[in-house]
Amino acid sequence: MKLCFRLLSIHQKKKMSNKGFKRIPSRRKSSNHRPNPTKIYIPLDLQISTLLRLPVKSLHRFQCVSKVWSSIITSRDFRNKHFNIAASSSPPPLLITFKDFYDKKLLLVMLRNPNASSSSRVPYTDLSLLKVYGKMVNNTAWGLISLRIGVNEGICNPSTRLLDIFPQQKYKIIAEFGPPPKYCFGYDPVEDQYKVLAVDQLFWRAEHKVLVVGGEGGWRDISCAVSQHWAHTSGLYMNGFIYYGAVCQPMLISSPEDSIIVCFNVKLETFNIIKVPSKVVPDGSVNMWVDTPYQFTDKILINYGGRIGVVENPREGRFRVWVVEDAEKEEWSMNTYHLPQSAAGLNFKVMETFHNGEICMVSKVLSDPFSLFYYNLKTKSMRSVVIEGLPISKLEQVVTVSDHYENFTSL
Amino acid sequence: MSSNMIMLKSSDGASFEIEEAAARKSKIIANMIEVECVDEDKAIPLQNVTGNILALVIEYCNKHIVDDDDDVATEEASEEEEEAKKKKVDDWEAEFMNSMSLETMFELLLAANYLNIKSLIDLVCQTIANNIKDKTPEEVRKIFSIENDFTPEEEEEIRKENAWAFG
Repeated sequence: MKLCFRLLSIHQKKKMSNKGFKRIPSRRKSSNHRPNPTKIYIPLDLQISTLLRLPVKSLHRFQCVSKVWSSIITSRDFRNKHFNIAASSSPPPLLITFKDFYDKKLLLVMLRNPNASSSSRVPYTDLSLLKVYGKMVNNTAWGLISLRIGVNEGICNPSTRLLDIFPQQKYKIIAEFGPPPKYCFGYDPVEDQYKVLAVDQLFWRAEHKVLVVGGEGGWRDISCAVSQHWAHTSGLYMNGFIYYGAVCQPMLISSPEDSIIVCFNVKLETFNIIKVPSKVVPDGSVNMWVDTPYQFTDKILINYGGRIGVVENPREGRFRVWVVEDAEKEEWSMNTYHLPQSAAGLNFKVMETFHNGEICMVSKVLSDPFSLFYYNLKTKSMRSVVIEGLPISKLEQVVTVSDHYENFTSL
Repeated sequence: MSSNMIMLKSSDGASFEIEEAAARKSKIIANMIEVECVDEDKAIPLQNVTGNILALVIEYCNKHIVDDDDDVATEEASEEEEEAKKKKVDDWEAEFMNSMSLETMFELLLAANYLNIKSLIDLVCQTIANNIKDKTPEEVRKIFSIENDFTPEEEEEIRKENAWAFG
């Protein structure tokens, strides 16, 4: 599909340039109307410095200002510099995804990080809403979202509204039934490539695959030196690595000692294992991630200031936070936190964003107006931020709350 | 004149006295001081900056030199204090740039560029960006005196490809 589109645009351009040639005389005439020469001229390097600070939407619009601007804005160098400036704002804006009742559309909401101010209300004017076809979100990284669209998987850039559907994988061993792979998405900062890892969830087959987003190659097999494993949590992208919670034994015979965090190097495409010490696995649980086999996990990985944190959804007014202090020495810390009395009755889900020592949670049942809850690990207090102006009645539940970086990648 | 004050002279002949520490915000002036080509009794002539713009530059430098001093004095400031201080600077900068015309911003940008004051260049570029982000390509061309060198067909094609950005 992508190839077709590119061919089409080349074809169009050819047609355009022919037409342009015929029109040269009339254009010469119009160029006599030069802009007012007394106006201040801003040198190109300062024009670029200004462009680097514009939102992605404005940049798309300003591509038709002039040929020079168009070639600047569409260059890779500009795109990377623009991303770095956008990513240096701290805390970054938030991206919230909601699911509708029909499992067809996701509502993406981008807003200023409520952490940036002490205000407890974020008004409608700060929101940027976008509807995309999609069922569920696999994970988000660097402003892009990996999601399921119908029976397909794809990647969406909410800043440019572009969607790229992945080709289907071809497995050497075809299974009639079985779980779909777990998709995790990350970025290789060295080669400047976005990659998707499809973790084969058929334990005995373990045909893990990688796709370079926007590349020509399609899905490639990668060898996994760390044996078979089964992914439980969503992928967390952090500093060139994708992390996810897993077990390295078939589910029914697995024990707490089989709990691992898999660490995938996006550039080298290699796997590493961080063992979960069995003493930190919750008592009575089959492994770190679930109480009983074949459950959905109630835990999420977060970026705990550059280290891996594991947070569980609160139950009976309390929740635990694990931090991998030293992966090699198997040093983990674990703390239990209690929700304030007023919030103990609510059914919370922990979200991926983590800044200033605050765990972000949402209520599993949507309320109108919608609120984000922030639990401060230091002061053990909770505050809520109301997000005004969302069409809550049309939405079923929150899918993700994550950090958002405006990304100019054209996929 | 105290030893750490220096004189700056604008292109239209206005003289300004400024603390050396504030003037060092400009890489160009800092270099001049380093190589000792600043005569204590003589003003540094700045050919490309008019008096009204130089006054703004000096206001900016004075404000930021005070902030830098504060940083040194309270090295172990708590996170909250740091945040409060950053907010104070942000507020001051917002107030400073507020109600400035685009033309003044452009002149200030050129002056900051000429004097090589990185933080002021960043501030003005960001303010110009905020100012133009919702404008049409036609308006932007006028603002930057850029000639449209696309054929109508080429422009139409780019507009079509980016139609969502025009909504």
